[in-house]
Amino acid sequence: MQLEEKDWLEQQLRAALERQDPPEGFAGRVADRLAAEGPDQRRDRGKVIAWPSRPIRRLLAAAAAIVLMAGGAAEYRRHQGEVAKRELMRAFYIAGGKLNHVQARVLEVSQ
Amino acid sequence: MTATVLEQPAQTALDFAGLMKQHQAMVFSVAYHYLHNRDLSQEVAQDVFLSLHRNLAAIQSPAHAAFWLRKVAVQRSIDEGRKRMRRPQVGLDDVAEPAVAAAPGDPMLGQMLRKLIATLAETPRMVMILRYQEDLDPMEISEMMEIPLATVKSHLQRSLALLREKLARRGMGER
Repeated sequence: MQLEEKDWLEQQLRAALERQDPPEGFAGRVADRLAAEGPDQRRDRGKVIAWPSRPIRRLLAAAAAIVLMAGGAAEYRRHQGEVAKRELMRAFYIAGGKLNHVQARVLEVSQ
Repeated sequence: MTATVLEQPAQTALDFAGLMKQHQAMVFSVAYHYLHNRDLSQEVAQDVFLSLHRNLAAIQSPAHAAFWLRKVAVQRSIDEGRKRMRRPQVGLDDVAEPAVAAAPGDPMLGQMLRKLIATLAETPRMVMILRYQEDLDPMEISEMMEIPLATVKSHLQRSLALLREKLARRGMGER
């Protein structure tokens, strides 16, 4: 499609989307709101941090994703460590039981 | 009091009242064609000018003011649309169909086109408004909306094809 082409539909769209004036008294209502805010508020509101632009938002989202992934990996490693510790403790417990049993049998035989 | 408030920023390099008079139709129309609600659009347009008033010291020239106002109007309209989830609020089937093919500038066709544009998703809708209301070229739209040029061209192409198809289905296509 030629974007420069001024075809029938494009002409109709230009006519349909012509600029329109805002309702009567628009400037007065803006002035009223400015007056209602007061100079101090206006100055303070001007200092409000603006919503970051799209590239910044993308960077922030990527940084958040990296932090989440790193946190997830650390949590996974910690969990794996806990599992290994539990299994080692169980192994010690079982081995201890066996040793006690053997010791009792040795004592029985020696008596 | 109204006059006093509007006169205050005249101490700065740019005249706030003059900028508002010059650009109020542009700002209001961007919001209105996007949101399809006069009261809400007026509120958005007022917010845009209040924001201009706060940032007037940073505006360097009338051309900068026009660019700034258009960009902020686009962002505020999109934000407001998301907030209110106002997308396809118009019932296309409720619109009466004309008995004859439409002439250029036909009010009924214009109304139909505005309603069809209102049913587009947010990005293509704003792309169409900036193209046909503001007469921006695709490169300018790409910079204004911070989206790739290819995306702008693709939205224009697809939206025009969709509108042609929907108009033809309603017997309002090209003569």
